[in-house]
Amino acid sequence: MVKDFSQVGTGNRPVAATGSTGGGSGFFSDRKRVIATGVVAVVFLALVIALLTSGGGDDNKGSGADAIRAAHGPTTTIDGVPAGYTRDQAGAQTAAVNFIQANGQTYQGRIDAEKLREVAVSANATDALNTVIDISSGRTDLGKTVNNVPLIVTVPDFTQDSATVSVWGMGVGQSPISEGSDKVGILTVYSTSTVTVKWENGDWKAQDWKFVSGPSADDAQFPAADSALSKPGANGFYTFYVN
Amino acid sequence: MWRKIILTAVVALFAMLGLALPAAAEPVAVPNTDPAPGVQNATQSGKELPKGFPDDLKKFVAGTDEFKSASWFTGVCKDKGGDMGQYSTQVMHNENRLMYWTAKESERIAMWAPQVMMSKNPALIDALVAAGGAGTQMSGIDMGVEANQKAALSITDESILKGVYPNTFPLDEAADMYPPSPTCAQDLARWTTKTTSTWGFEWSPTPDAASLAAMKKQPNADKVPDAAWTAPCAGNGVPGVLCMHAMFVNCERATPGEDMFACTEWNTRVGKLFGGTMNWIDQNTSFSDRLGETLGGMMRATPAYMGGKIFVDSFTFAWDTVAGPLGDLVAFVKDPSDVIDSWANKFKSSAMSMTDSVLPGLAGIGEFDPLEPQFLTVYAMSTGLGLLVLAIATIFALYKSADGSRPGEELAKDFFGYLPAGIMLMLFAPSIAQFVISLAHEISVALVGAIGTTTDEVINNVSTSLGALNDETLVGGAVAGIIGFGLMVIGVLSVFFGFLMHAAALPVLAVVSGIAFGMWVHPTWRKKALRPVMMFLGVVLSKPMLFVLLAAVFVVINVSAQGSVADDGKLESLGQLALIAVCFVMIGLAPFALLKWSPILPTAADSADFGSSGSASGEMIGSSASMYQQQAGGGSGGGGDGGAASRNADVATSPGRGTGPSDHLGGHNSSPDASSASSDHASSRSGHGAQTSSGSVGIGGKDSGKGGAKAGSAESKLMSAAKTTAGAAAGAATVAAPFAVAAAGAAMNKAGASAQSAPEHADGEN
Repeated sequence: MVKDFSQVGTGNRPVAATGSTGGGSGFFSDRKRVIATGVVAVVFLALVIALLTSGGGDDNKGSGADAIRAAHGPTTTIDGVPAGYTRDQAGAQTAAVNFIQANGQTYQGRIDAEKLREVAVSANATDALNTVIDISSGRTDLGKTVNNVPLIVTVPDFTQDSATVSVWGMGVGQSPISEGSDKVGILTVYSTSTVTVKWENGDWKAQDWKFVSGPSADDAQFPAADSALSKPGANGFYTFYVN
Repeated sequence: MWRKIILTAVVALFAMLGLALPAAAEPVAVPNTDPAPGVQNATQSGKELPKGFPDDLKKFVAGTDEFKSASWFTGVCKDKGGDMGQYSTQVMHNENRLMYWTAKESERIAMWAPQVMMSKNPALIDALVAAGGAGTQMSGIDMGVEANQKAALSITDESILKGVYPNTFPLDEAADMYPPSPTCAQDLARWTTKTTSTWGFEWSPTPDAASLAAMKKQPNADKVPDAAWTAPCAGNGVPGVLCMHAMFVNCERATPGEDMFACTEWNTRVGKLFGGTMNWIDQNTSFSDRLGETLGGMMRATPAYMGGKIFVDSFTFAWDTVAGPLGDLVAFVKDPSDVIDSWANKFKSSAMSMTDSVLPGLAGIGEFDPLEPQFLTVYAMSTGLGLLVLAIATIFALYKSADGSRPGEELAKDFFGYLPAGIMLMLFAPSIAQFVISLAHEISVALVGAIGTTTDEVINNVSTSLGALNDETLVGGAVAGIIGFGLMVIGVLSVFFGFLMHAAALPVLAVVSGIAFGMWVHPTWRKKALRPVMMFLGVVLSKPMLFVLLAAVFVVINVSAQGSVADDGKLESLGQLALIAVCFVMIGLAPFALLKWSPILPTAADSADFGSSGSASGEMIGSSASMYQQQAGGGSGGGGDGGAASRNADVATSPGRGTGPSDHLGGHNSSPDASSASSDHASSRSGHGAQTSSGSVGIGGKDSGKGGAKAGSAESKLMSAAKTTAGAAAGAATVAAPFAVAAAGAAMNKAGASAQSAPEHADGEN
């Protein structure tokens, strides 16, 4: 029998690809044995479902939470804000990238800024971070789509309690050329965001924010030795949508 | 004393909230949507838009009710300063008409002239003749004739005027030729420079490098001269229409990525507009020539057409077009023959250009951040000194109590009430200060938004009424020009310095406060210790108050600029110049004299005589000096500046104080050991502290100038109590001397003002 990985347990276990179930023939000839196995399987499945619906472990963060399973987090989204990362470098870099994207969603009026602060921001956030969230807050969804895609993510500093994550990203946007217009324009911009995350209340929370324009793809071809881009970039990048 | 402080603080808080709430409820960069006092429909401060100004264009002119209630202030940018994207787009759709109707009369006539030359435009010639002009199709119409000018200006029929309006681009192009909308003014202000213009910002002189690369990739961008991207208004073959639309923003100031996207999108659209404009110029040479000629003349007459200013100023200059071709900055003396004449010219140009640049820039002057790590380091040092002072003050308080002059329960209050309170305040003062500064900052920002239009109006009015002034039209000629414009230069510069002083005085005061908290434990020094704290609050709260007062003075300037204040005859121009200069001097050289008239601030009543002179740091030095003096016990006449000493002096001479005759000019040779009477007996001292200061600066308490020896029983009691501290006083006097000398020096020129302000402090306590 091929193992079924479609139901992954809670915690920090790595996620493998989804396989397909297979079946043997003639193995369970004893009827009682079949029933007993069936009962055990049902109980096991019930337990798994119960764990999943409760958010699992320490993930129970409110009614707006949706469960997700990924190797280093997030384990949930709370009102559109991803949360629940592992306490390792990959968890920190995922949290930082997702914070940048969640802040972008806030700027587009799709996430409430207060919820972002509540879920993903440290209690000791710097003025720079508070300012950028203030800038993003109070927006209306105008039907624009701006996707901030992480191109190279590096982690210049990492401890178990704090990590600095540098994200060279590309913002690709599609926006109506004027209010209410059907015609859209596409534009690409490059920027480097540096987010410091702290381990607080069992999760990585954004604490500081730095942002500079560029470099463009042309300018970034041969980064200087002291540039964050010259450090080894994070691998294994996937993406998903939250709507 | 305490009750009074609390009362004052409560009153100040309520007054501030009262100011802040209505302002905060409005779009930031926009004045109240309700008509301001004196602002009628389509009128501003009693002025009018040009006769026949189309109703549908009024919404584009700042100061009209239509502008305030237009759609750009009601959409998604309602709480973010308004939608500049929508405003600028709609302006461009009506730019030809706006250029005609907001132009000065002479410029409008200039637009008619080429169209009514012989047989050029028969329909226009007919229309002009029908309106009362003289001429024929063959001969054309001479626009130099006054009757013809009047006839042209009287025509308001759009179907006729269509032939006169300049051809502009983009008038009715596809939507992507205009700036993206909605784009909120608050975002644009972050990407540019904040000013007190109508929309609260002015455009960046050049776009950022990344935007520029994207702009140059737009269609027809290769036809745009290179200089147009970096210096669109410097000439160099760049068409004027590009200068007019140079609405650049700097996206290096944007954050986060989505913000940068929106910012770059704005610049890119301007790039597309530039490319489209150059293509239009290529294809319509005759039209663009006509626009170029019109624009050239208008830019010379109205600098607001340059660098996209028409959009951020929203045509405020349109209010000044009735009187004719005013506003050109002409030389004060046409052909300067001597140094006096050229000085007059220089003073005039300097005064006018400084008014233009300083007033809108007031909003951008920095704020003090008490949580800045570098400041906190210095503050930590000052609290260290504060603890030392606390220890010394504790010993003195014990000593004072030990001689029986104070009951034990008073000492208990000192030790178990004021001592921990002082330490607590040392610890939490920066956080409290941060809160107060943030509050004041928010109020200031709201006020700056509210007076934005008024600042534009002041600049326009000043240049309109004084720009054309010359030695023939101003009574007094070159010398009067030098005095008048010289005063303006000094006044405007002082306004700027006054605002800078806030940034400089606050950290110094905060550090002094750190030390002063240590003095809380001593009953006598307690009152002195409060002064730097109250003065800090006063300086912080005075900034929003200055903006309110600025608005009031601006009204005076506007009223004076549009009408005569002195006389309708020859003195009119001199009256205008003098009053405008006086107003600037008033808010510049004596900002704190203005504060004197605003009793809601704690400064005037409870701090170190802040309200009576122009130098906060001088005040502070004076305050500290007199503090040391009081410790020294001697030389109470010293340092009689705008600080504590003069305050006491003022109080002494105040009506109704009843503290004894004020004619004791420090002549009483009181005993040296009368020193620790300190502040209390200071109240009875002569009001001539400054005059006696240099000679009487605390040498061991000698010649202490206590004119109030006859002041009554309280005084005698203190005198007797003081006997025990003579030794300490002698030592401390050595420390006090240099401070007192410095204070006295600073005080010399302020003592007069302090004395004059005595009634302000008649109710002050000592």
